[in-house]
Amino acid sequence: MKSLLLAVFAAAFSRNILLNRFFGLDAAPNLKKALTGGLAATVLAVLASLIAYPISSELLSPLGLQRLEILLFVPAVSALTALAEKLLARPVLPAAADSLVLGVMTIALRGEFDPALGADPLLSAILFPLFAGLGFTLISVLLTATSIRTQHAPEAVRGLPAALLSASFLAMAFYVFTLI
Amino acid sequence: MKFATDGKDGAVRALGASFALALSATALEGLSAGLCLAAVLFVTEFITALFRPILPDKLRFSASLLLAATTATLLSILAEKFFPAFYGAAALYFPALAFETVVRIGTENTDAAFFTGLFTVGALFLAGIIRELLGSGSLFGFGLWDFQIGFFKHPAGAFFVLGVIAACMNLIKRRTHA
Repeated sequence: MKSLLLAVFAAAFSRNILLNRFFGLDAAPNLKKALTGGLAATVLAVLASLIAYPISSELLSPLGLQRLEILLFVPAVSALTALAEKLLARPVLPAAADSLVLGVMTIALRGEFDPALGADPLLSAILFPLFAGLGFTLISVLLTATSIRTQHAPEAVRGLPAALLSASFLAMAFYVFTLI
Repeated sequence: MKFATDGKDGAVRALGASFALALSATALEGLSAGLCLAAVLFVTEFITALFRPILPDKLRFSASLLLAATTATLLSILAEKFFPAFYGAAALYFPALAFETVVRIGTENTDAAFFTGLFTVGALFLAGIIRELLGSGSLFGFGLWDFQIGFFKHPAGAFFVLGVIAACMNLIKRRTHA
């Protein structure tokens, strides 16, 4: 139980997918979109990992075809996000959802959190994307809140530079979680 | 001047890519990451442009994505064989490289792709130099002084340095337009 809690804590805070792994940097136009976009991306990441896990472990790894992972999973994730956009009937997902989902999926498939989850790769493929996605949602909301307040900043700083600088301060704040 | 402007815009967007942020801790790493991003961007745009007359608009995005994924796969194989140290750091980020180049940067033509690539290489090389000099007190692995600021080695340092470079690039763009 303790190792499970530690893994969950690491996925959401101390090794946050955005602040430590840099996947999915993007400030949404408002807080509601940041929250719904983050949650939608979380669901997609869990789905993608669940679909990719048997393909990777039962098909690609035994045949020694891991090199094809990029060629196989990039179009698959793109199709999954396009399908989600169509089903939701409105643009909910963040602009960087594709790379975020693929990033989370890659980390989950590499079994990086297996030792902490009692060496159960399937559990890792479900729990890691779930908590990494929730960690991403939290940071996405915080970044958007900061970005709304930088609307009066000099023009050169607005947009991506402001998001990067805000992420820098958040990364410093979240660094304390790595010390626990 | 249109190309240069397009290049700067794309290069600023490139600085938010996970590949750029994760791989700019040293000058050599920044240069390698910039070259990888530029290679995927240019090859994808060049081949898409060659097939544009026979490629329906609806298929253009999917074709670009597949080309980018293929180029990223080839680059990852080359990096694993010839630059194992770089591959060790970049292996996690190669799969997302296709999305980063096509969705995040996404240039309009081959000239823009070339200049975006050029500016991206320059920006990431500069970021790598700054982070290595201040974070490790060295350049290209050669120790220069004992003074080190740990902040620049951490993810927060990557966000900060690339944020400042992106702001400077925006400022230069505004000045050259004024």
